[in-house]
Amino acid sequence: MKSPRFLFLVLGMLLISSCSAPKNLFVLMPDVDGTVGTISVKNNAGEQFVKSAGTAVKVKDAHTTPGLPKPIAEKDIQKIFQSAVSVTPDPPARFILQFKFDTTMLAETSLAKLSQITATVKERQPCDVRIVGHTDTAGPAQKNWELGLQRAKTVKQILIDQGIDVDQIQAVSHGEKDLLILTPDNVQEPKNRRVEVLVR
Amino acid sequence: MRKFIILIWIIGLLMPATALSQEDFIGGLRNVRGTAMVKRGEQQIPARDGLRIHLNDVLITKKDGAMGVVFKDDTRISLGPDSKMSITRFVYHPAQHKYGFITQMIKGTASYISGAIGKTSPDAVKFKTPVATIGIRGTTFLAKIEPD
Repeated sequence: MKSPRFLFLVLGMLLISSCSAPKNLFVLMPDVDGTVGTISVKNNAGEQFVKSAGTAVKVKDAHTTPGLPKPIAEKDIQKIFQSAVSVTPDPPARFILQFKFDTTMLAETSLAKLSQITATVKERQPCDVRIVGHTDTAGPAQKNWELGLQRAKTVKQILIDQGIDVDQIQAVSHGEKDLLILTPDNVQEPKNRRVEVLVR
Repeated sequence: MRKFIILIWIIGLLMPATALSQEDFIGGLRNVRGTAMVKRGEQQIPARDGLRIHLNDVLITKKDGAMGVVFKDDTRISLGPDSKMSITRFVYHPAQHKYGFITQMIKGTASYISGAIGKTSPDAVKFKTPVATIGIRGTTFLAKIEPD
């Protein structure tokens, strides 16, 4: 009878392979939007680049060259990483409020979003709210940084008035340095004149 | 006069504390499961949803533990059981074009989803482990580290 021996052989091999499950492993995954980036795995002995999703590099130790990138089975990813992946925080909710030129007055079209923001904050508790003020590139950068901050603080006060705890909210300014629509300096652009509210 | 000096002294004591509480946190915990804690200097704080974390905090999960962290730049890192990790550098000042995000993973399993720092300034982002350093080009990856 050959088959029992064969079975033992297979079992033995399985046992060996499970014993030698990689100790150190890096797996590239697709982003939420489906695109795939790159990771490099580097130590004293060498470097590997991983460019396709579902591909893994094993590393024996700090003095051994990282292994060649190899595909890894979905079930192995699940087995090793499921606990970590299952507690990934939700992506932040993002709201964009527009402002009238050179003012801290909200554009009418943005007023309706305020109640959505409050509702989201209440839904997500505990959470942090980050309010980032932005301007277009019209005028000096320093003045725009201050205008961005005033816009952020205006929104912060509105949220506080609607019952959100002040300790949860941070208001900062990116001034004219973080444009939504790229423009040269000294260009009025309504879409850049905004406050972003991130609930995370 | 003495009262005035005491007042100044009290203000001096309070000022840095309030400044810290506003800007010093770099992220917060979400989806905490089982036994998990945050070691801050000599202090050991039980992990719970909403707890804000600071630079150099050590995040620890036990065999039954897991936790997620969301950072100010939208980076999301989550840890599986029996894991240990710390953020040793976090700089996010777009107005000054200053960025930095260095993670030190000591052991366990982690899922890493890049945020704004990784997208704007990939070279400023490093994920260090005892066996290799991971460079990240705006992306998502998984890591498992099992020290000897």
